[in-house]
Amino acid sequence: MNNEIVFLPVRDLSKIIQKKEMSPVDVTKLFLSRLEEIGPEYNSVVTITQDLALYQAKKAEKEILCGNYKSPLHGIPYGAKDLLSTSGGIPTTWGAVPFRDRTFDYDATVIIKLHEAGAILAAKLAMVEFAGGMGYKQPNASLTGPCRSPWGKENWAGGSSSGSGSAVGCGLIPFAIGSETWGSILTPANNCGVSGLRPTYGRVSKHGAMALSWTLDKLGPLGLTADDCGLVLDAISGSDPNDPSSSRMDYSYSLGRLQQRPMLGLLKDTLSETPKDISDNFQASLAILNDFADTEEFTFPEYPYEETIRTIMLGESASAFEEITEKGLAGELTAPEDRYGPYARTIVLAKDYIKALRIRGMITPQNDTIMSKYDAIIGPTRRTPVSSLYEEFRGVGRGNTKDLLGAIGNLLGLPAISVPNGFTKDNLPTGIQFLGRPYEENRIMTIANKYQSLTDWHTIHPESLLEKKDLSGEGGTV
Amino acid sequence: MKNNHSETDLLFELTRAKYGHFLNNEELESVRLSISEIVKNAEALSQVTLENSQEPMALFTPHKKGLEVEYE
Repeated sequence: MNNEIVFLPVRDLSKIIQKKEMSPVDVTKLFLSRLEEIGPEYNSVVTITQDLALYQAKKAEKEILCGNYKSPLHGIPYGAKDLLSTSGGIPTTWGAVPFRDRTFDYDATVIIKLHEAGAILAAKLAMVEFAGGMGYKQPNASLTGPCRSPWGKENWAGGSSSGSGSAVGCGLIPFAIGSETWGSILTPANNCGVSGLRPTYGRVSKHGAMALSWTLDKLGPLGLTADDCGLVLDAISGSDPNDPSSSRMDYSYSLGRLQQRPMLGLLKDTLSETPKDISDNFQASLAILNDFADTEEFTFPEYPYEETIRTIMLGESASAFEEITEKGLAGELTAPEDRYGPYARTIVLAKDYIKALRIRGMITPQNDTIMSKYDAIIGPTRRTPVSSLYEEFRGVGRGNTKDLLGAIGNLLGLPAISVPNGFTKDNLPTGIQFLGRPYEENRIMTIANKYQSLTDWHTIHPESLLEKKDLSGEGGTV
Repeated sequence: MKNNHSETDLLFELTRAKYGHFLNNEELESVRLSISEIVKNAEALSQVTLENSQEPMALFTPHKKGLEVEYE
């Protein structure tokens, strides 16, 4: 029974709860047990919020029994990347040793919205220290240690939303909230074999979230399916007077039907310098997509996209982490490279930062015109394999593999969703990403959802995580 | 021709003057390398020609209490 529950998508789990076939309290206890038993093996959890979770679960139970069913997330436990402020004495560590015991006296807007939707905060999840803002190069860059992929304890969950990906992939919680400045939702989604959505910049309020780079940071969901990501985005999106960058564009998730064959853009040379396994899996995905969509190769104009986004990120993070730099707190960080990482960026010149913003302004309408031909741009989520816990991830793959879709997508604030699309010969997951125009989350999720209806990668879970001791106390395996 | 090495050196000296007391020699060398990469980034940006009229993509509007501005 428990095996059937722990890897159920949110939509299915919510039906069970809504029909009162299972109580939110029992569901929450199940996931709390898994977080406690299995979380430490994967370094995916910072704090289990047991008391709060049980309180919220009991409240949800009463509400649902009285017919007050708030949303598909009502009674569903979740985990929050530990850069989201949580009140009530729950630490918010930013993954960093200097802030191990630090607390805030307010909740991030995302936490408030999820509470209003009836979701249950079960854990604060592991992350790379300062969301990678110090320039880390290898997985052991967190106060909780290197976070492990559900698919191999010697393999990295990806970052910086490491715990968010790992906990969902391990079946420790049905969904999680992560963040992305450049890669930090999509990479863990890829490495952990789950779905992850990076929304349009501004779609989700950043109030109460650690800032790394104000014009690049986005908060978004990770779950077992694209559909789950949509359900969560529906709850967490919306304008927020506390976040001036939050968009006033209304959002409502709908599982749309494809009225006509989508046109998918395939960036020229997408698969160059890509290992065979990843390339083969992507080609297999193309064959599936060709059942219901058309693809066309295209190019973006040549600009220094990576240098532009890097300059913005370095300049903004230098300011965001000024206290860390000036007080020498970086010396206490876990990754050796993070101990000197913040200092170089203090010399990003203002004229270069502003030049980067001007280039961004020029590129944005040009690239949107190109993208307007397509319902989505597709590509492998990562063009390098899931890395080992013990090596630099930037050294993986041939040369310095460029991440053009990541650079452009994040520079221009575009939404993207990654869903699993297979495994390598080492049984490590790979993913495919669907990148969209601003505010077209529903369009890319509809395509991703259709892809998932024709594949079963998202239903495959690590066998070792299906067979643990019976946590229900009733005997048998879970 | 722009001498990037000397620009890196100057910026590194500034960084070392301000923060060197937090860092050992090996870390300082890594900082120097990072600065050279930042200088290379800036070089790449300088190759993009922009019109004077091209504004930064960062909106600023004066604030007046009670007057909300629609950004869309």
